[in-house]
Amino acid sequence: MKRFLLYAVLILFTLTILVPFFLTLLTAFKTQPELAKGVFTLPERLNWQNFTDAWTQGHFNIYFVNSLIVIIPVVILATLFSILSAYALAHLPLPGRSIVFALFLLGLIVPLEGLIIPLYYTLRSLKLLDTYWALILPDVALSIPFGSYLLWASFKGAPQSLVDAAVLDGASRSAILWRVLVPLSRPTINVLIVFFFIWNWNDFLLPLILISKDELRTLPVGLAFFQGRYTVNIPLLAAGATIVSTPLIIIYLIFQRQFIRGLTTGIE
Amino acid sequence: MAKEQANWARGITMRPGDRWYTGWVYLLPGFFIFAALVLYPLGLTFWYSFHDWAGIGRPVWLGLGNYLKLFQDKLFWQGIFHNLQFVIFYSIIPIVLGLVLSSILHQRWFKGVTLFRTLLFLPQILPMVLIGIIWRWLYSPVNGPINQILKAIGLKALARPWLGDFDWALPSLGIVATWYFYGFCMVVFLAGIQKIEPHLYDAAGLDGASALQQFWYITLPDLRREIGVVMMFTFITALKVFDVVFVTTRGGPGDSTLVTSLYLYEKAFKQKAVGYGASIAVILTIFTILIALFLRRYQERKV
Amino acid sequence: MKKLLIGLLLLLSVASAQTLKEWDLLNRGVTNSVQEQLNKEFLEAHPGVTIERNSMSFDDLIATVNLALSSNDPPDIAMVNQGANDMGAAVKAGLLLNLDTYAEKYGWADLYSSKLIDRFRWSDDHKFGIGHLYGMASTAQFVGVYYNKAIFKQAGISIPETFEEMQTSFASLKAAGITPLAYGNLEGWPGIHLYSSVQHLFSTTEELDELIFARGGTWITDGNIEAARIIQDWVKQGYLTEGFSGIGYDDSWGLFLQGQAAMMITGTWITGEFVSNPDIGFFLMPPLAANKGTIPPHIAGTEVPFTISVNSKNADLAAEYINFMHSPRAADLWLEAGLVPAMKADESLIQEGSLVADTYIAWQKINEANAMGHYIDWATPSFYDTTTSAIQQLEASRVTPEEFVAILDKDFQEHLSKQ
Repeated sequence: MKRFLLYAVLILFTLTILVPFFLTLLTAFKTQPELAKGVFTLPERLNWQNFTDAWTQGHFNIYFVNSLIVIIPVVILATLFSILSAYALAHLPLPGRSIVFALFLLGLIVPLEGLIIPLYYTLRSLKLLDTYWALILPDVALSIPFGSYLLWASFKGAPQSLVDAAVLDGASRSAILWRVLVPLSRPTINVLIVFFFIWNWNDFLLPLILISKDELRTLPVGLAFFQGRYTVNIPLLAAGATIVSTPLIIIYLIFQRQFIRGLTTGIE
Repeated sequence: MAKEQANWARGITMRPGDRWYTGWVYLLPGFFIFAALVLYPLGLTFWYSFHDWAGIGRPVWLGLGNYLKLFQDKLFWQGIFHNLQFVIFYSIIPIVLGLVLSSILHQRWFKGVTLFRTLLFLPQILPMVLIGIIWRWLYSPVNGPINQILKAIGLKALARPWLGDFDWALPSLGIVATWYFYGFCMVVFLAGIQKIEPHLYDAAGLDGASALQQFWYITLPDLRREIGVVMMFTFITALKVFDVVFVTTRGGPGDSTLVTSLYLYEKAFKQKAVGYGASIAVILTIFTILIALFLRRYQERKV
Repeated sequence: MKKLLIGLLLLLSVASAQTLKEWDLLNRGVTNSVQEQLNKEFLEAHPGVTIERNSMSFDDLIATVNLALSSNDPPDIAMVNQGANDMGAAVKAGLLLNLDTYAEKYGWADLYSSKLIDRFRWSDDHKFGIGHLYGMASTAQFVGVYYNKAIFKQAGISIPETFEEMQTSFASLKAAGITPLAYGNLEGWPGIHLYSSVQHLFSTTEELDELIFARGGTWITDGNIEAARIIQDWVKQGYLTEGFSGIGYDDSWGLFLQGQAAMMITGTWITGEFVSNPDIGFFLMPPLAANKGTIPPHIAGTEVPFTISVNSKNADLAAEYINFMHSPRAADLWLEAGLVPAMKADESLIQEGSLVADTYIAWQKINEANAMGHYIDWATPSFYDTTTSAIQQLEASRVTPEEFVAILDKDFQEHLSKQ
């Protein structure tokens, strides 16, 4: 009986998570008159019109491509720079090491709000506002402290004997990094990639401020403006929400282990 | 932190071919972009905050003028106060729920841990904007699902314009945050519990300790580190709430959900009071760093 | 990957032609299609030009347009709300182009009353209502009362001649189980129109000019307090849509369109969306019984005006665009869609007895009676935020009518003392 109750508690909590998504999906297939009949009633037939409307009228086709154009270089550059920085911090002679460490720690804590105003005016004076660079560069910069910190711990944890053996073989510094440390830290790097992806894909404040052209907006900001334009057309909004969430949910279900590890270690 | 710094230096020896600056060759690309786009603007925020500037022309030196004005600005303090109220919903309730749920999932007889873990964690991967938009509809008084359900089960008296009600708007947004974070807390705690030696529980079980006692005397103390980490993360997130307020209430009704970040946005980018906005940013930054240091120290002392 | 490349190529090719980037808030069904049509016709007359249109809600526009104007690649043409909060801040930050030479070239000053055009003016010493021209708008907009003829007939009421009569009809509608006023104030700005429609009844246009152009005066007047008391009373009596504080503006007019309320106090920007329902008519706010037979001051002006960015590389073309938006053709298109153009239009397009006819005649009356009032949120740089917040507090009985006007006056006096 007690076990039954505890299962019931868990199921209830799981339902509170799932029901909003389910209702959104259901609503996306309805027409507005059908929705007026009630939230839980089923539509007469699956109405795909909302999705095609949202995709083109709502410009989600454009936002989606923009998000991809931004996320790919961000993840590649942030991972690469993090690997290089972590290696320097973990295994190389580095004057000022403790200062760099402290600055990265500062970078981990400081809120984006603390630097967004000058960031805007700095990028403006560099003529970079309203370009993809306005998102790519700050995203990379903000990702590096975390990536360096996480990989530093991983590189540090690599068995010293393997590193020593490589040195005895006459391996160069870069060979030690790319042939020994990076393969050993593969799982951590995967976690890092997942974290960078989710963090930057879902970013809102930065693109809201640094991008004002609709043609360059990414999905979360695009979605917010989409809501402003169609506040009353709930089925269309629901379709937009579904378009934004479905790819993420599918990727998540496939790689859920990496996601959960990535986002939970992400904060430590 | 002292321990970590010692770690940083250990195991680093000069090898043939190394120069004293070799490390910087590797560090520089990442560090340069970090310094240029994080450290430099951060310093500049302080500089701006001592000026009156409309984003164009020559900034006028004000000294502490912006801060003197800020400390008398009722809206700013309201914003801070709302952020602190959000801490309850971002941090405290999700941690409590996370502890309860993770200790249920940890029971040996429990089947389907992975399934529940996967589903409860789901909101975390989605943008807060999306979550906000879905909930704005759930709360709507015009055929919104929540009021419809309340009416259907005979609780019509409880139905209200959630996001338009002075007393309920902030808690309503808070509930969205709780919903977003509790599964995350649970997953972190579950990982922590799984690291606890099983024989501790076995011994306690033999001694006749109830599940509650086991939770209180074994689980909770051993999870201090995880709790500290989650606390720090969610606390800081609550201090910089923006997305969910921006897509739902924009601070209303009245100023009942106005938060610091939104106020900063309005001042610096909408009304072009750049210096004043920067002074808000400075206070928010200092506040965040202090909280982080405090929680970190607290966490270290306990471990 | 292929899509990516195509996207990039498209962006590049668009950027190389002569492109006008245009921001507006004409995002609702009918107004949106008129704007699309106007843009299309402008392009037909200007081969080789493209328009990148970006249309959004009022809230999103005021939250982001000043940000966009200060960006590296600002919109050439953008709607910027009048008043100190938006246009005033943009002018002060040097974001907007002075349109004086274009106004002279195209004769904009002769298009409509100077009373309207003055609202786009800011002087070198940052005074509102005089000096250089920074914007132009093509439709007249004023706040009045839309009503549902079928519901009026059913409830046995007619268009009220005095404000007191109107309140009596609210009571009888409410008693009959009909919501008297459709209303939703989640965003806060619809509250400005509701409150100041009543507040204007107790004011003269001179008093209003003084306050809005921040020349002096005070908000603490018996009339302003009485108007606040009336709004609180309407809330208590249940005259407004249930749950209005959580209902958005678009939802509220949707409810009215579906016949779920007898009246709605709002601006004529929405007429286009209402023409599909033949039961809907329009009348001006009736005067207080003491002033029976006169036209009281009305919240009146134009659509949010188009401005040109100071950094626009196509300023001449942008001015041509704005001029086209004020052409007789544009006037006719707006009128056909149900919106009253600020310029002269072909009156034969108006069908007698239609909603458009109601609003068109109302506009003539306001002009003849010189009864043009204001949007009160223009008064100071923070007045939009102050008033929206204060009105929501008033409606929730968080403040008394006296405290309410004191909040407005505090912001106002602080602004005056800085000038």
